Amino acid sequence: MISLRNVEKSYDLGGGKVYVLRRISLDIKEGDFVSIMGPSGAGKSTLLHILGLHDSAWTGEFDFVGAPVHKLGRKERLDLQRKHVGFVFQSYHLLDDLTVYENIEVPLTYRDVKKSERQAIVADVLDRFQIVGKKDLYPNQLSGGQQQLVGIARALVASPKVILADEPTGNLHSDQGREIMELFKKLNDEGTTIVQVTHSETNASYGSRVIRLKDGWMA
Amino acid sequence: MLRDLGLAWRRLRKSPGFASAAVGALALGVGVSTAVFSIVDGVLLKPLPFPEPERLVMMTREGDVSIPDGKDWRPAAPSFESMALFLRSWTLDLTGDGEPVRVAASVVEPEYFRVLTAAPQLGRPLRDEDDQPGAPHVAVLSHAFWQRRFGGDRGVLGRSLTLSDEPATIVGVMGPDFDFFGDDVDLWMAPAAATPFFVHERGSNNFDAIGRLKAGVPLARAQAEMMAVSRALEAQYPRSNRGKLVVPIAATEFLTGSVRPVLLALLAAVLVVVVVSGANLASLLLARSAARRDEFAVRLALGAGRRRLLNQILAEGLVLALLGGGLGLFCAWASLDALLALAPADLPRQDAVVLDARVFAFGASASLLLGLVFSLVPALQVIGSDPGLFLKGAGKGVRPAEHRALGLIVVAEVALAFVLLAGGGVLLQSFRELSGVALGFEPRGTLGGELSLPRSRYGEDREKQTRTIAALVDEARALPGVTAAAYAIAAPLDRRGGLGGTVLFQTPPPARPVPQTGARVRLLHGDYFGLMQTKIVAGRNFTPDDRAGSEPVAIVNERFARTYWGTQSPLGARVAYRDFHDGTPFSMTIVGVVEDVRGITLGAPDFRTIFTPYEQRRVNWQAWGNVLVRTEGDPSQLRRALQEAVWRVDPQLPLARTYTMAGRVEEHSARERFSALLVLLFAGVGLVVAVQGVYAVLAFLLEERRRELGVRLALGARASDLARLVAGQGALLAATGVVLGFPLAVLSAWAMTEVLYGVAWTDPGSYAGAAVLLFAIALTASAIPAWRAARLDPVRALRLD
Repeated sequence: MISLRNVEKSYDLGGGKVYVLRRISLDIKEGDFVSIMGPSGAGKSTLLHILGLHDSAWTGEFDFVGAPVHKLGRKERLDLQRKHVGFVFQSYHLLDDLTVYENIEVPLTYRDVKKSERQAIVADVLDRFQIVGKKDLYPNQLSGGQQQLVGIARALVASPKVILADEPTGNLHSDQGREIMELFKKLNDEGTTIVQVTHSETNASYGSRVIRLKDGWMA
Repeated sequence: MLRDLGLAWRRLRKSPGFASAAVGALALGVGVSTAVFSIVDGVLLKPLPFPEPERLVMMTREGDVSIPDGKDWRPAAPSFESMALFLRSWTLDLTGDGEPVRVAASVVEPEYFRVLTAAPQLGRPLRDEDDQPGAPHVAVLSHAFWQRRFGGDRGVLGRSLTLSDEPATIVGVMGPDFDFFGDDVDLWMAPAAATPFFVHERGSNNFDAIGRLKAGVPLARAQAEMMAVSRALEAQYPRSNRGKLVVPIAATEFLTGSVRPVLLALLAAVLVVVVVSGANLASLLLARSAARRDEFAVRLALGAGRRRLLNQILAEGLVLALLGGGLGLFCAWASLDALLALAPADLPRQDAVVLDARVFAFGASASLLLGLVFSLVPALQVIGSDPGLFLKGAGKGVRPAEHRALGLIVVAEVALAFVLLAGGGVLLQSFRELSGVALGFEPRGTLGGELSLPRSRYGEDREKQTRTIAALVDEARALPGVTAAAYAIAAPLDRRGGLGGTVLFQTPPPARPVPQTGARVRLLHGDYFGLMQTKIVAGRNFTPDDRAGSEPVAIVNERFARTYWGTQSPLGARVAYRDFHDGTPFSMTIVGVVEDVRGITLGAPDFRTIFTPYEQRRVNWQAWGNVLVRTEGDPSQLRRALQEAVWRVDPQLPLARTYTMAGRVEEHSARERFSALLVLLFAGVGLVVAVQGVYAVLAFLLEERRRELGVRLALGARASDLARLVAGQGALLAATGVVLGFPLAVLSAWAMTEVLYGVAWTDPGSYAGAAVLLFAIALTASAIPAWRAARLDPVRALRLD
């Protein structure tokens, strides 16, 4: 599903090139639950955003769901991302001015889903995550765990093949973190591919594989 | 601080977009306010250029005052140190020394110079002995006239001038500031010399009066004295003094009182521009500080100290103030002449309007104030924040209330711009209608010149006058390029508008059988109607056979015919006007009807008018008239030739002024053009302010929403989705502004109904045009923030490692 070959990312600084990622080659199959680990500054989040097709300034080869990302233009990459990727952020990044319902609906509006269909899909997701009662609340009326729950619901609403999560429990109490990880496990069991960045060995233990990075290299 | 300034300069150079927007906002505020302040300062605030100007007082009363009345005032008004009567404008023909010209004289009692406490630059002022009957005539020249006519020759004193055929000796030259009313006076003469016929005539209320209060005497005391003397004169001379109460007022108030409210309103409008420019600057700076909040947070966390940070932000404000203020002052300097050219000609004290040290100090203070005060807004916002919050990415830059306030400012700016644009549109439409009005004559290719046959040489000799006018017209017609020539008292669009008189109906008019009516009488020589291309709609034109001694004839205008004859023909009817000397009627037969013309103003057709041949005039109604020529080419090229043609007939006869009829049409729409231009000028400023506002707020909101937009991108938003989101905000602000501004615009246009011509205050085109223009401008202003939003990098927006 995901295949990286010799992917590198660097910045040009005054004194020369500084590499953030070096010769990354890896494969992720459909249904995998992969955890990317490593010390701060190792390039974990950078790798995650390359996988999420947000970042295009890198070299190497990257095949995603059969498509050669390294050969695609900006628009094709965006189409690919919209179709297959859901993203979960450490600090939730819910849109403050939108209700829970509207937050979950946002990705569908960007995929030109009709309003009636959107209503059905969002209702289904709200039900699945048992947050129907909170659909009219704003993010600041929710606890951190609840906000992340909405964040995951939002990532899932467009039925992506893969969910990329950047420290999804980083801002949560351990109980809430455990619940979120249980949810990821459940989603993975149902067939969703999950790639998470984490510092926590406990969180990593929910996955099937760990990729370790250090100073941009795969360890 | 120098280091901070250097850093600020470097940072601004790195953000040319922000720097130019901020400098532009400042320059606009400083430029407009400085230019207008220079006018307000010159006209209202600067003291008059005379010693102790606060003691100068003008006497006001209904109608002016006669010399005998004025002489009676003095003994009854001990509050005054001195008092003088003066006639602001009186024209005299200067002949015998170079080309004959008409000069503008001011007839003043010698005490006038003592009242103003002004010494001549050369020679002496007028003295009391110059104002005695039979005294030799003397004149004091204005500085400008001395320079223009005599090239500043210091040997001019003692030279003799021939003024309307009377000799007068030059005894002095005043300094350049002496022209109290800005009337462009050429010389000053005493009443006994220039207007001896007024000296003993109590009913000749032609003079103004100015006085100088004794030191320490309050104006109220002078007012009480003048009131008492008015009552006494009223009792003694009821015929000439009934109801004529004198009220002394401060001279500055007299000079500038009529324009004070307008100028103060203008200043208030400008202050609004300054405040909103400042608000725009604050929005821009907020946007910038929002974008730099991480940097500030890091600096704070590194122990920079809030004061140090404040200095840094203020240094940037200072650099902006210097750049924007400098540009604004330059714009004010560059635009001042244009602004004054736009101002109405009767704006007093225009000479005092200069960009001097006072005005410069005002502009510089405004720049510093704007730059520093409005820099403080974002500075305080940053300084008051918890750096920890920023570092965690959870810091809220601005509270919702401030968001709303910024939005409201922009909405108000758009509403204001809409009101001005729609109003300007309606006025412009009115001006276009007025310019395109059917005149009843063809102004293009027509040149006119005013002349007056001086009484001293022509007296009441009608035959000599007629001969001269006929010869003048023949000479003018013989000029190369001239196809027709005529003489008229008076030409169209002359506000003096011919002579009013009582017309008697000797043949009773059928539509309105009244014995008499009021009408204008215009005297003509030559083929005036052919020259002006005014259509004769019934009957015939005057012919050379309509001469003195032949059957008196008249041509009336359509309005006259329609009013009294309705649909019937007035041809053959007999009318008469009264000789105003002895009241005997002078009969004429109506032989023609001409189409109505715009005789006095462009806005309305002429009065009921009777035209008669100049040769058949009964008395000399008035001495001045117009020589008119129609030319094949540009009529203004013939000005000199026309004057020379006049000199060939009478070498001492100056043309007072020449004009093209096309120019006169333009002059008559000048007030409308000025109003439209002024409103459109402000509309332009309003538009710029609104554009800046929309841009600044959107740029600010873009920074505020960077994280949100990053999230949206990560959730699959296309670049176009984000651009639409940002531009939509601009459109929403513009729409709200237009909707809120609409009732105000309608109200303003309704208030202007009186000055509109040929266009309704509801003119939909003006409102629609203003709305479309504002939308287009708002969307243009949104373009840069929208483009930036479209190019947002989600990775950076989400602040990843």
